[in-house]
Amino acid sequence: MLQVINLVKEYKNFRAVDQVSFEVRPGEIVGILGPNGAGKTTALRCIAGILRPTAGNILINGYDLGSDQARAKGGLAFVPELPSLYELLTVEEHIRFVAMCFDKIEFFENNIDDLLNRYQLVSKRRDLVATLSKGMRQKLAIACALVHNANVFLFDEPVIGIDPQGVAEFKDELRAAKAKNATILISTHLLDTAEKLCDRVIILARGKTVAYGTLAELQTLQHMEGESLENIFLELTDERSKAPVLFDV
Amino acid sequence: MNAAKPLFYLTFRTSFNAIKRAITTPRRLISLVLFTVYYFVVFMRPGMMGGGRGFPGRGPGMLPFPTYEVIDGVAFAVFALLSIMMLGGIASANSNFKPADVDVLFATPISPRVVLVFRMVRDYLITLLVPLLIALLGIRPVRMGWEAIFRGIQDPHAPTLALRYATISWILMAMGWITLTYGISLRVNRSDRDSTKTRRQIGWAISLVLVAVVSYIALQASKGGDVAALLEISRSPVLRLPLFMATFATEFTISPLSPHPTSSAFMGLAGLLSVIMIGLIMAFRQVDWMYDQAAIRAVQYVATQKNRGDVAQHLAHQAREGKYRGLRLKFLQNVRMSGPWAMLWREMILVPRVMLGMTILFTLIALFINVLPIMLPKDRDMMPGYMILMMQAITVFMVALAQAQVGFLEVLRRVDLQKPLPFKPSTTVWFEILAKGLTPIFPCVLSNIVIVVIRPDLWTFSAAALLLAPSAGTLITACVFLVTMLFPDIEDPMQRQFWVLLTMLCVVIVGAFPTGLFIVLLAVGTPVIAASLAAALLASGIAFLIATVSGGLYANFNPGE
Repeated sequence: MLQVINLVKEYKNFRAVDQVSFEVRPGEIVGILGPNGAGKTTALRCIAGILRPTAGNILINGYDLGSDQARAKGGLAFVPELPSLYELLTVEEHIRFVAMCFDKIEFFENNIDDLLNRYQLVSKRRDLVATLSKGMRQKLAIACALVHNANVFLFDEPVIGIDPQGVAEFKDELRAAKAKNATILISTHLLDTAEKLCDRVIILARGKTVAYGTLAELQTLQHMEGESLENIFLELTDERSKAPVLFDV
Repeated sequence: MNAAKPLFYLTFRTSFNAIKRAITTPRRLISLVLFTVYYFVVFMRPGMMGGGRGFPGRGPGMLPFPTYEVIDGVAFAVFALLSIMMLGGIASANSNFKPADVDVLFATPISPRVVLVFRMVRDYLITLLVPLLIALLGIRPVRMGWEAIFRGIQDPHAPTLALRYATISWILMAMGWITLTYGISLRVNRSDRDSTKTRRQIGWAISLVLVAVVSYIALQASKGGDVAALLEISRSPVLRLPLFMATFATEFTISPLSPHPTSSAFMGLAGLLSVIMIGLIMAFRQVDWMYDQAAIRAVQYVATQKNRGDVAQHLAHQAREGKYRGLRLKFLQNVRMSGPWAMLWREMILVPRVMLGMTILFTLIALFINVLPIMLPKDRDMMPGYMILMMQAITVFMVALAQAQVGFLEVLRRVDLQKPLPFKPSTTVWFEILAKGLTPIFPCVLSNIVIVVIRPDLWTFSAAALLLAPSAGTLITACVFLVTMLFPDIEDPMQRQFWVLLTMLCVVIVGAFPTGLFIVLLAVGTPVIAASLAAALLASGIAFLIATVSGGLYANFNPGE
């Protein structure tokens, strides 16, 4: 269970996230959408305990991230956009390190082969991270997120650079995690993916929530019955007018 | 300890893998062995073998000052120098987190307090090595100096005792600096509004202290520069108060020799321990800001961190943020150069854009150091002439090395753009080397104009310097390119440091040939212009040879491997 209550994050004179509230229940996938600079990554980084919120509360499995960080983070897995990894660790060492941080070394030892297999990392297990391609790095980051048996997952643009097979497997992984009652928050620009995968979406623009709910609720709210998530998104974020004309025939 | 286990694991594995990576290919291993042998022969052996030749006639026993004051002055000078070195990083202790720390470590349940303690201890251990490194680089003069200042002391145990106290002082002072640096850094780098103001205030305060200290030293030294005056300066409150950490450390170091050993030791110890306590309290009170700061810096400066020391990438990053517009010289933009000469044109455009500040700085330094020798009295034979050559060699070395190291990183990055150009790889390499190697001509020409105006009688040396500068610059640049091709892992900071060290070694070895020829020719009475011409031809020949070898390596270079 993830609850975000009145989250605010300011950088000097700039408010990147402004009074954002939502919750993600167990067994639910919520998509966090928005144009570039809307505050999605900042919000996710606050929830992951990387950035210190200026105001607001974040509860992970009922534990307040501000006052009980260790317990709150204990059940959380975060996959950042284009993750920066420890280049000089091998693939296996990297996953082991994350498992050690979460004190789940036994889980790691029992599941490492399966995990490497699932993400086609077996042949790379003794290679340095520095030698991996962009897609393989992303797979490693996802493998690291799964190594400590978390039940709350944060994904920031998780499928960038992954091949179609990897994307399909990742989607299966998400559905499987959802079936196991995991709480999943995913930030993406792929609106059709969000439409198919997410139970609810939260749309941010300039740090503020402009819509929050299921697709049906958003359609009703915007009087756009039958419209796709993409159209609703463009309408809400005023991006349609800004879209460049690539081919003027 | 259990909570820090993953951090120990991470540090050990990354260090181990980095070392393993540095020595697992024969090319890297051979280079490492070469470098170690060179380092041992040049820096270590003379000091270890003992019985160095020393400087006859400069016996340390001749020091005419009370020894206690000399020791006090030397100890303060050393601690003050170390303090000033550490003062530079006082607002940025928290900036050396890697982007991977942000993406991987910070999202784990490991307490920020554990991470803070771990990093403090790690930084502290590294800091403790600083004087050791300085001592290793000059072990022989350090030992001579140490023996010299204690020559007048009756007590034979004094040097050992003072060394022990100095060691304890350094251990405490380093800890004081580390804790204080973390405390201040965490305070001034917050993402809230107040921190910018505090950061500015601390920056001004540090600058004022430094300016006051330097101005005071310069002012006092100008009145009379003998050793007694220097000792007097070192005891002044103008230095002792702002450099309080060095004062405490000095007080403790010299306490065994002091007339009041107990009070002296207590004062020094109490001062150092108080600073450590203050630093620790400041740091731990703000530990919750640590991840926030590191994450923001990682986002803002990810390119800077990744490309540390890479000016071009840094400026590109600045330009993307709209903070840098780039210098546009219209007269250069209209110049027409075709074929491989276009690479020279590109360099003429890029050098002022990428290295304008550095070029101006180097030109000023070059002017200063090149004009310095001609201020010597005229009756000193032709000594200033040789000094001019030496100073200009230093200028060429500095400019060419800086230019090449920055430029060739770009060459590696732009290989996909450059390789399809219609030239042979060796042609591309030669023109790349030439383009960067000719840059040092500018400060040299300027310096020599000034020299000839002030001392027309030294024109032969100026002409010789101008003959040597382009070829020496090209040779140094060729060495950098060769090493770059041998160690192209530019994204790995450890490999990059190794690359810098090997470049120096290559320049020393290769440069010995034309330098040796020049010295031999002068020794047999050849006119300086003829000797410089011969040395310049040899240097250019070697540079061309290296360019040809590098061309082969460049042809096979694939950035993806």
